[in-house]
Amino acid sequence: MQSVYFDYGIPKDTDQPVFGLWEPVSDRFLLILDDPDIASTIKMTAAGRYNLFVCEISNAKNYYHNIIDNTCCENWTIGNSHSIFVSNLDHYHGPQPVTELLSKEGSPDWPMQIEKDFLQMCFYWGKFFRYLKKSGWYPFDRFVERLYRHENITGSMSHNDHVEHTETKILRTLFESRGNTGLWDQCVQVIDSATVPIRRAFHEDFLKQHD
Amino acid sequence: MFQSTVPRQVNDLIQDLVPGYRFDEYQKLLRLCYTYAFYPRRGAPSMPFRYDQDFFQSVMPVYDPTFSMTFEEITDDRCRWLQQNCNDRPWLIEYSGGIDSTVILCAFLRNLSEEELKNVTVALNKSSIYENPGFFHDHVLGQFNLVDITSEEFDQVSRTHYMINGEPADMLTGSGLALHAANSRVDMSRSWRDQPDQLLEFLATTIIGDSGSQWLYERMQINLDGLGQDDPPIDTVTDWFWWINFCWKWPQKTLWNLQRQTDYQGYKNRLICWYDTPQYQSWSMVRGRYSLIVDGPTIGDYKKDSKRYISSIYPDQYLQKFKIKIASSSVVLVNRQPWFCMLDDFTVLNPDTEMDSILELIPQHLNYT
Repeated sequence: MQSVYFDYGIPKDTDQPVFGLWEPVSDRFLLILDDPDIASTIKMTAAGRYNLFVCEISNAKNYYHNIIDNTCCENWTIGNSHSIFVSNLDHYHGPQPVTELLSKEGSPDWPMQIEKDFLQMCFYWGKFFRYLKKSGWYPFDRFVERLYRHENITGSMSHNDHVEHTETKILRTLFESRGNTGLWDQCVQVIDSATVPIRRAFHEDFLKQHD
Repeated sequence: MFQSTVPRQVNDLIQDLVPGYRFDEYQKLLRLCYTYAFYPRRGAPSMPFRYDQDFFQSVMPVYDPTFSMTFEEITDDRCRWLQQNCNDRPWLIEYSGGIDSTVILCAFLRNLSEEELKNVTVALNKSSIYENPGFFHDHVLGQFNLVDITSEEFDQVSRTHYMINGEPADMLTGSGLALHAANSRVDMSRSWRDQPDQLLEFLATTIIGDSGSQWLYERMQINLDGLGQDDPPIDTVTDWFWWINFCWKWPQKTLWNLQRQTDYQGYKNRLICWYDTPQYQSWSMVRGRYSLIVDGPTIGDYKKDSKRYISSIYPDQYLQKFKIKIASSSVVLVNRQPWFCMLDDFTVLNPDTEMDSILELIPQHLNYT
């Protein structure tokens, strides 16, 4: 049974680029998603567990819509792993090109479902905060706050500050985690101890939209 | 002489004096070690610059096929050596969060008393935490004094402490290039002499181009043909990559941080490259260099002995399974005048203002017949 935060990862728009997070030791994809910025954030969030590479899979020569999604991504890998020098720090910036998608034989010697589940959680929270930051006056408020940051205009913590503070707490929870036991509940507790607008946005708006 | 990047005028001079020297290929090759030179410590000299053992003090021990100390024993021994021989000033360790510097911290945690740990300062930046947040929170925070490696405070302590770093650990087990070759499906067990095709193809497509790969192969062959009975056998492609690191890159890897200093002599006197010992080198000759073959071909198997050592303090399954080598991101921000070379008395020569002196000194530092 899929979790409440499960996402197939494939956008409805077939022209939209699709990205995968590829793990070099197991040589498999662990997550498929359509947002490169969230992908980069997830890559960093998961750094305490493994090094992930953001790969643009929709450019692969054998890619077609629905060839791969999050129900089966661990059975796929990239055909050009030799071109990614995994020790080279330069390859940690920006999506890597993928020439071809290859099916992966055999089962991994690690419970990959746990890691897929972890990355799904990261993806879910990434989408939630993307949703919060696109709503209302967030971008305009943030712009003005940046210009006058050191002048402390209002003297109190704004809604936007609370959004980013809450996001930071969730990211840190995920970043420091080992295994997934109780992890989702810990993150929800962070929301439940946040401000009313954030709690409402999560429980009444976002969770329902993505149920 | 310790030498940095190579200006065109110097290369023209070398071209006249050193047979077989090719400027463009040599420059491409320097990308393998961050533009510093190669100094083969053993075998026939086939690179332009002469290895100055007095300056580098990186002595390769005689090959002993019966050497049997384990990585764990050597590492604990190393810590005890420091306790006995380096107790006249406090210690500062440059911690990147990677495997090699984590081993050093584990050695401290295994072997030092609580009182002795108070004399250890860990220099790090945020990416050190990024590399291994679990270890940082469980075993670094609260256990050691911490200093940001980009801060002025670091500049101050770096003048008073022993400076311990994780060099040249990568030279013991083959490093990123060998991993990349293995990951590129090069058969690392092939004879480099009898079956060089895959090796040449990898070098040509990845690093140095067709003519450069042939040139490098020939330079290596000249060097290896000069090995004697005191030297380790270099038979396979794995051995070949290992030798470039263990023999050619070793000297400059112990001193490349000089570029970031101002008090060169003081720094060199206080510098401790943790892995630059006869014991680690002997271990590398009989065990470390076979890591890719013995421990397993995946990049997660790299440095298994180091990972096992770390697990004695931090038994984290993710580190054991997934931690891979990435280039150290720990960078000290300095603003120094670039220099071309350092003389034995630690004077540095700048190519913009002292080219005449450089050209005058170069011939006595070259390998040529």
